Amino acid sequence: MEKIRKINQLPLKILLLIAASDLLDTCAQLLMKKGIHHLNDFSSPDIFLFWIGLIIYLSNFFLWMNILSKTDLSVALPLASASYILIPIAAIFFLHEFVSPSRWLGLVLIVLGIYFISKSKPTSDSRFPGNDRTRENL
Amino acid sequence: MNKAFILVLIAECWMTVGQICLKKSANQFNIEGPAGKPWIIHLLGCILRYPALWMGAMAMLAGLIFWLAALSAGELSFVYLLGSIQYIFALFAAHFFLNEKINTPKLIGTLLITLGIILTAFS
Repeated sequence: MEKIRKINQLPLKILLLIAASDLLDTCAQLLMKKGIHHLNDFSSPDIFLFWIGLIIYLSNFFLWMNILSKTDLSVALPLASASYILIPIAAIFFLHEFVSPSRWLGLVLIVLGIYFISKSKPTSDSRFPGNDRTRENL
Repeated sequence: MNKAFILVLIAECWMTVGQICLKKSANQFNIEGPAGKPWIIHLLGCILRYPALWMGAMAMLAGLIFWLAALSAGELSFVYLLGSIQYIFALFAAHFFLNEKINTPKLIGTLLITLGIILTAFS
């Protein structure tokens, strides 16, 4: 099956799936962080937040596998790195964390780095001629 | 050294081991399976036949446990950004265990991520 190579060729459905994966990842990390301090406190309702977060995290893994089977990693990965921006913003609003300017700068460098890695050429795999699956590995 | 930083490092080591195992096993079989057979049944059959697959899954779970410990030890915006160190681990692990080539864009990307992590870690 021919995979999609460029972002402007990306069907809306896959774009929405990747956006959903970003949002789910953000929700999962946020809920796990909110709930993890109450793991021993069974009277607290926050313990449910942790388990909901964990379930979202694990189901997101399967969603990500589904996305990778439909498109190249080099296309999906830079879009998925949006969660590196979403999570600090969510942490400011929902966890009242302070994100310092140097942390923002670090974030920009990380997202740029992911972009460069995703744009690199895959190693051709002689065992699988014509198979692009090597792209799906970092 | 920050406790959360160490925990993220351990978590991402496990995650990288998991990724390498999963990739090794993914090279051995076709994930889509024969037509008409439900993919989940096919996947379960593969899990039984290829030890690298379930070893990878176990390593990912071990990574998740350390990740949760890191989450409880540090701020989310700190821990999540440090998690990008996995891209660097995976680059070198893939080079040594899967014979994947390291080229210039990968090196530039790795350098940028390293700088980003240093900035985050000392923020």
